Amino acid sequence: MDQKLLSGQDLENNLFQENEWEANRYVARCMRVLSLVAVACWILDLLGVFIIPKIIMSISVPLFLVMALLPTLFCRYKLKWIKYAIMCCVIAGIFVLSCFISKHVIIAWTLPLILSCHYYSKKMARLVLLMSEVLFSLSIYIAMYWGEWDQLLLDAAYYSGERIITSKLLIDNTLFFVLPRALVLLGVYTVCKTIAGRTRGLLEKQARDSEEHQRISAELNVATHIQTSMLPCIFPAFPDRPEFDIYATMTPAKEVGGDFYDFFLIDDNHLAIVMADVSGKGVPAALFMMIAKSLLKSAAQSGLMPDAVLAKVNNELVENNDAEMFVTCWLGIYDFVSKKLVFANAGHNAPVVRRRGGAFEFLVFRPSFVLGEMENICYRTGEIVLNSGDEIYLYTDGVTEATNAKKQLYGNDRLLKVLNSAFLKDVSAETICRTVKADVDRFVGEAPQFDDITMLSLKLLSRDSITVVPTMDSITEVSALVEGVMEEQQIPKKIQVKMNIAVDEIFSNIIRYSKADEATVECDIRNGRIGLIFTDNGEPYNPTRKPDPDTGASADDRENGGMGIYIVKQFMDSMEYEYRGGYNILTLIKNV
Amino acid sequence: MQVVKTLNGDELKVQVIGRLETVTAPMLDGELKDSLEGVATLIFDFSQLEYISSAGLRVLFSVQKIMNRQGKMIIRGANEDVMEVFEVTGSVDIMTIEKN
Repeated sequence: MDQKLLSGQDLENNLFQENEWEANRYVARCMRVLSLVAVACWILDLLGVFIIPKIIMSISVPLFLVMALLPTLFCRYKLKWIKYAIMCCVIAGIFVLSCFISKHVIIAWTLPLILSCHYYSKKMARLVLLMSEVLFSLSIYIAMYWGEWDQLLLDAAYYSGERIITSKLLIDNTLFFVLPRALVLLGVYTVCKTIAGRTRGLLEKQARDSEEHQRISAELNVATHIQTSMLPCIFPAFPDRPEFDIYATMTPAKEVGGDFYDFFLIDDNHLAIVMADVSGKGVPAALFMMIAKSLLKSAAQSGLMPDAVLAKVNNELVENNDAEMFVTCWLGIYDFVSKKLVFANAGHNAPVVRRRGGAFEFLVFRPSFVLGEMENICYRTGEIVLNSGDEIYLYTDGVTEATNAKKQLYGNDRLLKVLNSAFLKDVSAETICRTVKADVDRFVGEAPQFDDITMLSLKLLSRDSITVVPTMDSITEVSALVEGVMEEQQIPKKIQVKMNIAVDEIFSNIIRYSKADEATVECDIRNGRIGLIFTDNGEPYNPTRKPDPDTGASADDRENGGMGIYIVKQFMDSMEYEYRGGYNILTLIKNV
Repeated sequence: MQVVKTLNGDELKVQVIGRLETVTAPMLDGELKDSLEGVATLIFDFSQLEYISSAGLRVLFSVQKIMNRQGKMIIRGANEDVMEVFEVTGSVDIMTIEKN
């Protein structure tokens, strides 16, 4: 996010700077090749194939070699003036040759100009032209006196006899030899100039494109961040709710994805879990995902049942869906008191459910139609009971359809196999998600990730609990459970007695007065606290509101009621009552 | 829970062994109902009583009411846990509890 964007100018400067270092090396390389050519010519001349006087070759070629190989020594230094030094060497090398064997190396004078094209710089081309023109002319006049000159311009007498340079000869040389060739160099220069200019233009365009690309990728980074932070990603998500453990991850195939998960408490008693997949990938899917996620959350939080939530969100999505996108979605709302998970499925993969002590199995339920395609769809509702110790795992097709290099799919069987592996028994929701993700990654190997991979694991933590029909007989079972748990946790006898009394008082109250036909007692011992939670579906009754009995009255005046609750209040560290969703929930806490 | 009754003239000694709670209190109540006639001194031996809940207290209170009319009732040998319940509920003030 803090990634600093290079300005366009910086980027261009960088680009040209880099090109300059590279050009230096290329020119040096060209000169090495030319050196080989020169050496070859020298050898051929020594062998008598060429007719240039051997002495001339033996002086000029080594001098040229020095000039031509010099750039190789310093072409790697990243200094501004290196390029000028290199071009000077090139021109000087050709100048040396031109002084001695000018007629043979006339064409070589085009080399500095052509090589200067590497720098994409008109300034450089102009400079090289200037130097070339001057040194070319100079070399021709020098050659008139000492070198091997173009014999076409001279009468045979020149070669046979002494060199007599007349003024006519000088003028002829200038007009008919130097001038036309200087003009040719000018022509070459114009061609090279356009090549350099055009290439420079291309490079500048590339710089702009790369700047644009950098900007887009920086924006995508931000988008990725926004998207991931939209999904609940702080774990543990509900540290004050010890009764469940939830974890979820989303790994987009591109910077942003179309998959999403969500989970939130609608109220203290209801947890919504969502797993969804928007058709397509990348930015379009991500935008649609943001809308779908918000709509789902607000609909679910308004207290609607899952089928109604999906129906509402579907109509809202259809309304403005010009892009013809759709969402598959599995939505469940879990009631912590009734232990029921009510769900509806809009064309999404079936989740897997594991009962306490059992194995993960697919939650088979006929899916309804996807969201966002067609108005006024009715969604079917399913319902399962999830008790403590049960768990559910939701995922998108990015998991089951992950593909390896051999084009094999990960598939349902592999998913079940890893979920049911021995090392995923009694582990956290996070470990489940991470292990499955690692297994998918292992399976996929080097093959690229095609689809977003998203999963959510919800575990209802197992607690020692018993659910009974509240009768006088059942009270013994309840006491036995609580005593058993306390014995196991080595709770001191004195505290055990108090807990036993509490169970006896509270549960006998439920039996006598609540008219409940079902009651659950949970015993949760952790962090030096014993928690006893009594849940019954009887008439609303708040025992904490019951007035304390008059403990000073004589036996004759004693009322029968209230004594038990009073004892419990005195013995426990806290006693809280709540009426939720048709259930009396009484929570007792005793510090050990 | 076990109840052991020993009648010695007009003195009835009742030993309660185990727990006196919702399920067991009616048993004690039943044991005593017909045994109190002509009893002038009722002695509860609670040395073997593990703990007592309000259901047990209720039985004790109703027996106390009867004994208030025909004699006296003494509680002996109550352990700390039982005493705590007696104290919390103010039972120590309305019943004769002999300290160990």
